[in-house]
Amino acid sequence: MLTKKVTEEVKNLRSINYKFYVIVVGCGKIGLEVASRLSHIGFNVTIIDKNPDSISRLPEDYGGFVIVGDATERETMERAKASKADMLIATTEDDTTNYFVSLVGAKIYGIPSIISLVNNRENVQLFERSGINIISPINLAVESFERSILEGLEHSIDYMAGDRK
Amino acid sequence: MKVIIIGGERVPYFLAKKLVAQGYIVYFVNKNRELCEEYSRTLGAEIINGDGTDKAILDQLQIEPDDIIVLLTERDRKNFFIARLVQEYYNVKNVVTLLNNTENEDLFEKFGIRTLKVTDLIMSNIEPLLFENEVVAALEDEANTKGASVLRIDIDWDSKIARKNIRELSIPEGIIVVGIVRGDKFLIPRGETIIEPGDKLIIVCNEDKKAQAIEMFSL
Repeated sequence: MLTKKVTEEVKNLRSINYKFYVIVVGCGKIGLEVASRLSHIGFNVTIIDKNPDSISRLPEDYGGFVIVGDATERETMERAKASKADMLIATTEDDTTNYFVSLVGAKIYGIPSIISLVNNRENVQLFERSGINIISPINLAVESFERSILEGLEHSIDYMAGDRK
Repeated sequence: MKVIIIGGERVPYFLAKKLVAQGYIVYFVNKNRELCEEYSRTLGAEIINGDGTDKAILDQLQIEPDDIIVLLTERDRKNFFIARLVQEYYNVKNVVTLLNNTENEDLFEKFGIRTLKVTDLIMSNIEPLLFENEVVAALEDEANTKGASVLRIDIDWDSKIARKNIRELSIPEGIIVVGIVRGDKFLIPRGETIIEPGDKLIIVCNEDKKAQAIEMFSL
């Protein structure tokens, strides 16, 4: 559902001859999936990971660039042409790394949009206060549960109401 | 006001010791349990064993805005993270951090975090040595093919030629002082340049004047 919406956006951008450039930091389960999908729907994508083994797990049809290097080092960010990026997505499993690359991206390279995975729920506030859009797996899971529970509850109430009649 | 030192091994020990002796309240936070056990016996400081990037650990310290936070972990991203945590959550004004990678200085600066540029400090100390070695190596390449020698002579505190200028020495033909390493500087001497104790002279001389040169400058 979301992907369809994003694809439309990409089409809009393409109609004005603009290719959105995204840097994905971390090629773990999430980074790998995000980078593959984004490249699939037509974004310019560069994925960065310190570990060549992680990079090798990218699917064969991944059409973006790969950089083996430490994204907390400027040299790596320069290689990724960070100053030309429209978005940076930090997906490593270490929050201090995600926070650091997010702010280097925003404050040093002026990347307009930053999204970061926040592994430890306690850190959500710090990321948000620093102007980083966050993805918190635990919060997402809890929200989904809440939504499901609410739906279930509404269903039961309807059922009970109907039953009484 | 208290001083909170997070991370590091021996530097925080001596730092804390000094501060405690001066009457300051010192907290030391470190992940390493053995180190914490050792310091809790030997240091008159509050020792907290835990990860400083964990806000739950920081919450135990009852940090106040006028506390001084000294960050000594060996990862800039960790020091940065802790610095931002204490700024955001406890409004700490003074944060000093070890800067491992000099290129990160700009980011810390943008957030008003003071940095200790250890790498720069070491570089500025070894740079003249590196330069001296390069100069000597280049000279030796040239000199050796032309029957000349390159000498390096340290000027002691009791040297007879110290505090004299080059002209006064009346250096004989075939011997020339081409450079003086002084502290972190490399000087190209002139007649009026005064030789100081602690200097290192770089001398080029004809092969047959080598003994004479050594004798003359080692007095």
